[in-house]
Amino acid sequence: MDRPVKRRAALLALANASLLCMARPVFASGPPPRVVFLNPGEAIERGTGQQWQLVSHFMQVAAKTFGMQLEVLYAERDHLLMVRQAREVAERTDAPDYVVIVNEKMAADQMLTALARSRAKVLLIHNDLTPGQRRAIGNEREGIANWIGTATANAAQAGYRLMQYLYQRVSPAGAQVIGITGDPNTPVSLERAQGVDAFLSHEQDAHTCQLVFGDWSYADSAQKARVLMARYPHANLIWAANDAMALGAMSAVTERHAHVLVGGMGALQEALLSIVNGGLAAMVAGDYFIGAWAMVLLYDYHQGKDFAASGGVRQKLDFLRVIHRENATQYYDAVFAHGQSLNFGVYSKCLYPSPGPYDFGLQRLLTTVPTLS
Amino acid sequence: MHLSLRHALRSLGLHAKLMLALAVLVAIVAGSSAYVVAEHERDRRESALELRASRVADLLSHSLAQPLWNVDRAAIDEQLRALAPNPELVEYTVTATNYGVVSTVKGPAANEHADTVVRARPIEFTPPGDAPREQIGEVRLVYTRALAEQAIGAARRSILWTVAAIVAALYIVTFVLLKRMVREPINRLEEMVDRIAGGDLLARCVVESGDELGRLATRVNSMAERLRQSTTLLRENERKYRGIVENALEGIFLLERSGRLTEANPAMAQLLGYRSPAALMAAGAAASYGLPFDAAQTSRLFEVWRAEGEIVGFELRLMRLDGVPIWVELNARGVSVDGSEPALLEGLMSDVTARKHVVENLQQHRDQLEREVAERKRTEAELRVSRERLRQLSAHQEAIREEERKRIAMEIHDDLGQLLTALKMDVSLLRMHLADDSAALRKADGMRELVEKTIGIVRSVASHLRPAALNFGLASALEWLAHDFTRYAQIPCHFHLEGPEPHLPDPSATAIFRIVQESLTNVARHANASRVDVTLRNVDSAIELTIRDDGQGFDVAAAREGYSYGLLGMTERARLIDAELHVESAASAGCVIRLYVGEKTVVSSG
Repeated sequence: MDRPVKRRAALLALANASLLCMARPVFASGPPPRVVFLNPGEAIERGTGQQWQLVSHFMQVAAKTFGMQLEVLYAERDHLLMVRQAREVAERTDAPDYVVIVNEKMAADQMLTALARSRAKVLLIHNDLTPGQRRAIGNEREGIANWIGTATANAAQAGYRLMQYLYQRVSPAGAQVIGITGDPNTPVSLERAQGVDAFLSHEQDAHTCQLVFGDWSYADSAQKARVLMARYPHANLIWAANDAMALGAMSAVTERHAHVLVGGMGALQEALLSIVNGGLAAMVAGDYFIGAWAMVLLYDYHQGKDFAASGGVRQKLDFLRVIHRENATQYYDAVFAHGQSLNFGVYSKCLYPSPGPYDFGLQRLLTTVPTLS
Repeated sequence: MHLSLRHALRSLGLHAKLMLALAVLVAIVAGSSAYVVAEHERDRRESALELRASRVADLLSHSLAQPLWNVDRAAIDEQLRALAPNPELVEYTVTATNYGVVSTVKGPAANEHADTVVRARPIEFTPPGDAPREQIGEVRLVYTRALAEQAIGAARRSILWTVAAIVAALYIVTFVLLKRMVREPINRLEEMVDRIAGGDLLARCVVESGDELGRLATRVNSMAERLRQSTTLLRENERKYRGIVENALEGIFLLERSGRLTEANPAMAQLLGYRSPAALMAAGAAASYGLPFDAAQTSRLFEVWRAEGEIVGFELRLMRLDGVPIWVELNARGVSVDGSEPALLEGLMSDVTARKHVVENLQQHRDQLEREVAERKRTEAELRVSRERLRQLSAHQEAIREEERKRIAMEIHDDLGQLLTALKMDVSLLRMHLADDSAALRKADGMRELVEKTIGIVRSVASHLRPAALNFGLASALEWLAHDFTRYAQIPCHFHLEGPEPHLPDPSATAIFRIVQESLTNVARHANASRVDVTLRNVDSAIELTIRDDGQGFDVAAAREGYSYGLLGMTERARLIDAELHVESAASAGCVIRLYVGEKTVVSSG
């Protein structure tokens, strides 16, 4: 089965690429593909950070790049609402071509089940299904045939890199680490922590004092950091699983005037400003591009270049990079100051055919920005 | 105050007393029960509060371990808030080690300033892996006691109200029951008893029940019945005794110490010549109570009463209305009004004037009789002296006669006997001179027989005049006499001597001998006996002689009345020697004659 599909996809990709090259960004024929993104976050930032707004934002940028139509439905961090939204989408007579969903709070299986009735193709992003969920409903393109793929960031790698950087910063004192990750039901929380552990396990003078689960919020993280610093007075590193938590932890460190380095994942504006201002030590940036990467994959898929041929249906994308004081300003300018002009087209294998799996290295994106180039 | 309380208690009715006692009892019991229950309730609630606080603290110390380990303030808050609606809660505080307060939840009782229960528990957590268990914080809870106190107060009030309600209900029920069952029946009983006491002896209580009150009513009824009967009897008796008093022949009166008559019966008035007792008492009053007893008589009567305790047969001379003096006999006793000195004399009085006169006559007759008796006594004495002299004379004559007999017997025996013996010897000598078978010899033989007969006769005469044996003592004489009697009368006669032979003066021995002799003669003549026993007992200086036969006997009294000279003679002989003679006999029972010779006679013999 795979071979004819791949062949056909390859042919289609070639054709599309040639078309794109001539009449970009207009599709050669038919209406533009419609994508619905069931965003678990908030439409307006209310304390859990801008993460999901940025995801939508860069998806929009990508959609504009590829001439796709994007509809974002915010679930306001309410996974039940999210499931209802999925059902609503599934029952639409005028079904979209693609639905992008997130396994927020383990709700993806319900959404997949709901959407199985729909004609729309489903791409799962950001959080993969847990092994248990997969055992229950199967894998992509199996039991639920319209679930065409999964695209997640290699969160473990992000954790690994962050800790690697932070460890270097505190060397040779050794690392006494406090981890504040997200809720335990979200797989990415664990993956990030596993990455951290993976690095620390290699180092003799590094040790995790405690890893705590948080609710992704600033206040919670600040609270946790305060208590944990009291609990572990010798800790010298804190990492947090998102921006808000990193900033929260940073506030606690600042309060205590503690000599503790704080790093995190996410790298939103505020965190970047903090890095620039000498607050946070480092952030692993790029999570919010996952939506954009999904748009790339869907674009290619829609153009007949199935991403299954380039890395498989489960795309574990290693694109996150550590932003620290030295590169923070540049990154900020590229992503936030000139975010509208980011060109995601460079990643399309349809537009820029290349062998092998997708390479979503951020450097490629940042170099497209005029000011950086 | 104390007295007035006691007075108030005493003046309470039975119902009120019972109710008071019940109220006090129930109040004490209920009060102490309520107190105990309230205290128990208080302890229970307080310990429940503390237990609750401890349990919640323990629960939180466990349930907060994971959230605090993970520093999930939201989860901690959520847990604390879940337990926060407890109205007793002042606050929950969770502190982290080395950090301070992580979460505080104020409860509804946050503003209470009352006493509190505080529980603090460590929060411990065992980290994953083989790390040791460590204390990561502490949970502290503060519960107010105010609600428990309020609840205790409410419980106490409700207990008190309940107890009060129960007591009140009990009181009311008991009040009504007691009123129905005790007070009203008692009131009815009281009313009936009042009626009975007021003289309505036909009133009867209604017996309403079989309890004590019913029984009391029955008893009151039976008492009333008996009272009625006794009152009837009393009236009857009063009527009877009034009749007796009214109709008595004796005067009956009540006399005061002042001399005033307070009561008198018609007989009394009649005795003193008045028409009626009223007239008598009016006359007494008119005479300043000098009637019918004058002042001296009245005080005398009271004195006698005081001295002797009663007045029995006291005679008084009174004056009738018509001026005729009368004698009255008065019996009286004091009537004490208040148990002390008698104020009244209650007396009976009868006219003894006639009897008085009779007594005076009798007195005169008695005096005359006394004089006659004295004269007679003098004569009797003279007679006794005369008789004594006669007796002495008789004794003397007897002695002379005996002496004479003795002399004659001796002379006959000695002189005539010697002569006859001589004659006999002469005849015998003469016979020797006569040829055999001659007429002269036969004549001489005849003469010798005649002489011998004569000698026998002489001896017999002498012996009868005075037995020679008497010269050898009484015992020998009596033995001889018995032998002689046996021989002549052909009746076996036995003589028995018990004790030593007595020594008696000759007259006495002779008298005794003569008595025995007379007795045996009587036996031979009249007794038709088959055996005679003569027993002489000489014991202790006295002599008892018994002559006993088994003959036909005789009536002793009749024999004495018939002037049996034999008996008379024996008696006289005995008297002369100061001895006693007893004759015992009856028809077909033989005869026993006993003679006691006293000590004097026997001793004088010595």
